[in-house]
Amino acid sequence: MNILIVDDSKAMRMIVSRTLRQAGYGDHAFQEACNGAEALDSIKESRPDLVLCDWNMPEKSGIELLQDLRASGIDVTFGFVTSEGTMEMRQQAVDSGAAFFVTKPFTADTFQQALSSVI
Amino acid sequence: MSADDHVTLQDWIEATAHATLDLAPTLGYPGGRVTRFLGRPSEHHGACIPMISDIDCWQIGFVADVDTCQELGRALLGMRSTQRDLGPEDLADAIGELVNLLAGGVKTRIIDRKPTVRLGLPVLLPADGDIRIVRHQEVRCAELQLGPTLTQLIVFRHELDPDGGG
Repeated sequence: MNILIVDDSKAMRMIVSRTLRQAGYGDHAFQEACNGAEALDSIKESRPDLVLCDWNMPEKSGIELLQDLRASGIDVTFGFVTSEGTMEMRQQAVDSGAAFFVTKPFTADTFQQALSSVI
Repeated sequence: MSADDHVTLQDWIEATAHATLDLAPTLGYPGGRVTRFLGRPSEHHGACIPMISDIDCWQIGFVADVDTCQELGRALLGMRSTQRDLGPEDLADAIGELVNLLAGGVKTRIIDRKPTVRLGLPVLLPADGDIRIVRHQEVRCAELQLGPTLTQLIVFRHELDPDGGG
């Protein structure tokens, strides 16, 4: 499975990758993008199986990316990994087609719980 | 009329302190505590992030000495055991992400009173001089011991329409 990690922070992309490995998903291939615009191009080109995406990013936010994907007919499994976890955002994520919503800081157990139904 | 309540500077700095203490496990620290409240920060290295509501704008963040910023950056990246300094870009990235995590925790704590609040993107604070407080700004600062580190949490408040113009 190809997993795309989208976050404007290189540190957070590294932490997400590391935590995915700790959660037992190290056998999958990881790709990275640093904002929503770059991720959109990457998704259209390489068609990953799963996207883990931050919410607040320059160029294009995570929610804008998801909305653009769904509007383009791209139904890639998509989940948010973000520092903000308000009910409003969670609902907006679900309404836009997100499969899960993980709040930072997270643990390997958090990822296992969120991803067990999609991987 | 805005749905937001007026949240005091003290409320904000306390929310920021609690949110920072919540990050202790993530950083591999056993815990921490507020050691004192200050009028304004005395350290220069760090980051802040804007939090904007319908009625006001806040900046929250932290400052510390350069060694403490390195320690915090390494802690976030799981590199504390290396004791190797992060390069400038990696340190800036780690500190920016740390303040992002902090802001998320603060927002969770105040969202019921500030339902319109939105987060901006992290801004690194310049290390070449004192942080200047300008007109229509208020600041509150709390010194926080987190594991082996001593940081200064800062909260700035800006009135969006201080002169009441229409």
